[in-house]
Amino acid sequence: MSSRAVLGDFLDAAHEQFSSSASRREAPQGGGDIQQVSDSLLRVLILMSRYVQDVTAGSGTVPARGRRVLTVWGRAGAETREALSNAAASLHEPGARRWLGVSLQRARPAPRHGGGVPRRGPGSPAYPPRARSGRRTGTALRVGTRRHVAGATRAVLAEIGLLARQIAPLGARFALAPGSHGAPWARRKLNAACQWLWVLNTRVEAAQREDPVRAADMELLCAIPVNAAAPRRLPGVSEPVARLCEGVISTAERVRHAEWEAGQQPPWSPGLTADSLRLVALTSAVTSHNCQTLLRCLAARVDDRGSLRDRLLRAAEAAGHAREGWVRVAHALDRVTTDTRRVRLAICCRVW
Amino acid sequence: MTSLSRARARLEHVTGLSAIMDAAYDAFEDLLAVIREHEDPASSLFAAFMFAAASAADGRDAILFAPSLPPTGNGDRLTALAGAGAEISLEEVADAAAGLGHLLAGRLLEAGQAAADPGDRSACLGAARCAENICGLLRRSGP
Repeated sequence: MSSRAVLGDFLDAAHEQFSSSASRREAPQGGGDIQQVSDSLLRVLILMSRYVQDVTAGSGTVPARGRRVLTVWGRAGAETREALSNAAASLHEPGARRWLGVSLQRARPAPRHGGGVPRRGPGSPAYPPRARSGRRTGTALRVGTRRHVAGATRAVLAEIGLLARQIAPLGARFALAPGSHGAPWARRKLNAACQWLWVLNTRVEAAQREDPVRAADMELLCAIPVNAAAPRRLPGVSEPVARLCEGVISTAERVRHAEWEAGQQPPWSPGLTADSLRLVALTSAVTSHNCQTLLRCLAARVDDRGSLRDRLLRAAEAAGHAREGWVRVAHALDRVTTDTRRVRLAICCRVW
Repeated sequence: MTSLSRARARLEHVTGLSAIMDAAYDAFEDLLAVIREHEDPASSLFAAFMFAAASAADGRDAILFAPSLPPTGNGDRLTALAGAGAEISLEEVADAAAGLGHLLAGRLLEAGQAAADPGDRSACLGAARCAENICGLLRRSGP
């Protein structure tokens, strides 16, 4: 449909990087710095947390007992947030608390085999069939209805689960590999973080089994364009329909962005003060007055024959009426004032 | 004109930031009333009077929210307005208004530079600019 980058491109790149043989097998054996890997993993966890927070806002504060009233994926979202928070806390608790901005729980996950092979891969039955970003078929992006939001939530959590499933064995291998460099406590931290990623994957898989993610939801998620509006471009006379459709979409995105920006502005105009209103009234009065003077001068100079002189005089009279109206407005504004202590416009001072 | 003379006399002798702002507020009000009373579209001073009136209102508003402005005036307003409107030429009104504007600008500039509160300083300096505008619009040109 479009040459713009979409979320699916980023997801594809991430999955390919994690699943490449170099990442999965050779890197740990070739040695590595545990602390460096931990720092990298922490950054990934923060990124994953932000995605999850975007689609599960508020559910992270639901107590465990209250989660029974949540939907399957609502519960999975809360547990995913909790697992990511705990994984980050395992790596670097003070920093994680600051960066993630969520409550950290000190519970430890049930021990699992750190370097174990994933029981289900991305293509396993527990996960929905996911179209690669290059095979999108023109999904209509009508994100915004409740159904679409719920679908996007499920799809995001499923993708996070997939990533966690790929990252967990990688990190555990680094933590346990004899060739990697790091203190025992650093190895334990890294391994504990990976255990929480296993927990995350388990929660998502459970939700997936109970309420599978639809392929259309995954496709919709992958088709979401990057959060950058395309530049304005006027269509040519011979643009094909497809390009025109792209133009409509990008225009709608720019309008939506402009609307969002306008929402940040105060609903009133800070420049609309008693001073500015007075300035408008008096300049209009003076302009009308000058028009009346000019029209009268012109009427006095034209020949008395024909209707031009009468028309000029009528116009002068109308300008006089306008002046009187504006003078009345200016007089009325003498009794009007605005509190401009914070937004003071020195219009009258600059205009001279 | 009586009101302008009275405002001028008061402004010349008043001391202290609050008292200066109080006198300036009333002086702007007097200027506004007198100028509005003498607006005459048939006069060549019509446009200058219109702009000067707007500056008088702006100057009054500039010090209206100053922290040190006393909450109430001294009660001379009605008396002052009642004394306005005597038989006098527009040129004389313009001269008197320009003179009062000049005095207002000087006193307010002086008060603003000495004010400790930023709100008072900003109010006085803003009002002083408006007073300068009145003076610049209505004073006679030439030496």
